Amino acid sequence: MDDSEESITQLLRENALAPRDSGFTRRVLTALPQRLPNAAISRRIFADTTRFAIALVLIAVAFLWFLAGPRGGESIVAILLFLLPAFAAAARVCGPLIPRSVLRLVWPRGRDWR
Amino acid sequence: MLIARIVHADDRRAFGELVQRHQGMVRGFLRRMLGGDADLADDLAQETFIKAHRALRTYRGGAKFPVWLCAIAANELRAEWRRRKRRAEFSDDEAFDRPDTPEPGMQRDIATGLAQLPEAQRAALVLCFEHGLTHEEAAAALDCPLGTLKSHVARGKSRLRAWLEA
Repeated sequence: MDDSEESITQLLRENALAPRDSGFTRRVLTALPQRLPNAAISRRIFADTTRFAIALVLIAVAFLWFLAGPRGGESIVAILLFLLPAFAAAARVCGPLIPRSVLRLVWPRGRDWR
Repeated sequence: MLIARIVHADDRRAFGELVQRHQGMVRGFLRRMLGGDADLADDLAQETFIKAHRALRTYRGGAKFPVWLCAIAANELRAEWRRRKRRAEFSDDEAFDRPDTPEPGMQRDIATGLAQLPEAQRAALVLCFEHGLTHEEAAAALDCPLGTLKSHVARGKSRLRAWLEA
């Protein structure tokens, strides 16, 4: 490494931009999601599980219906005509049937790069 | 130790300590990459720390913590560029950012000189020389091959030197 390369390196080190203040730390801490008490976490898990179970029951009913019927295109249409409004109604009453965390596994696009 | 306190006890004071320790690097890197737009850089830095807090359980210590943090910051930057319908990756094109720097003298010259560089070269120089990452660490943080990183460093240094001497 020659002198001028060394001096550029030195210059960058000496003039490093590294802003640091406690105001920023407070800002980050304020923006962190609030901690939930254990009871609230349990309630949330129970609600999510119940909704997910409702979704599974609807899918199971549709599947059994398909197996019991003539298994043609018409029965698929009939099942979808039952399934879609049933999903929509259940989601309206109970909230989203499939938790976002599960949806993200299937469809990970969006702002969250992870 | 701090990380263990955050993960196991959700100790927010410990997380504050972590933010205090590493904010200089994250905010400095983002400001340089955004041509001195301090407000946007701080917004992205905040988002970086929030994502780090959420993902801390998955941090296994394979990479040094600052490198891991820089990788999140670099992803935030890419996401911001994507949002702006700009470039999705650190391009090797000419940079068009003009720094908004209140610093006088050499500080301003360095900021302006860095802002002239293509983003990939700027990111490499800032991480390696301003924040002391090794070439391997910077390559990991920017998710690029080591050879590419080294060539960005060499080309960036020579362009910056030429600009400062002009």
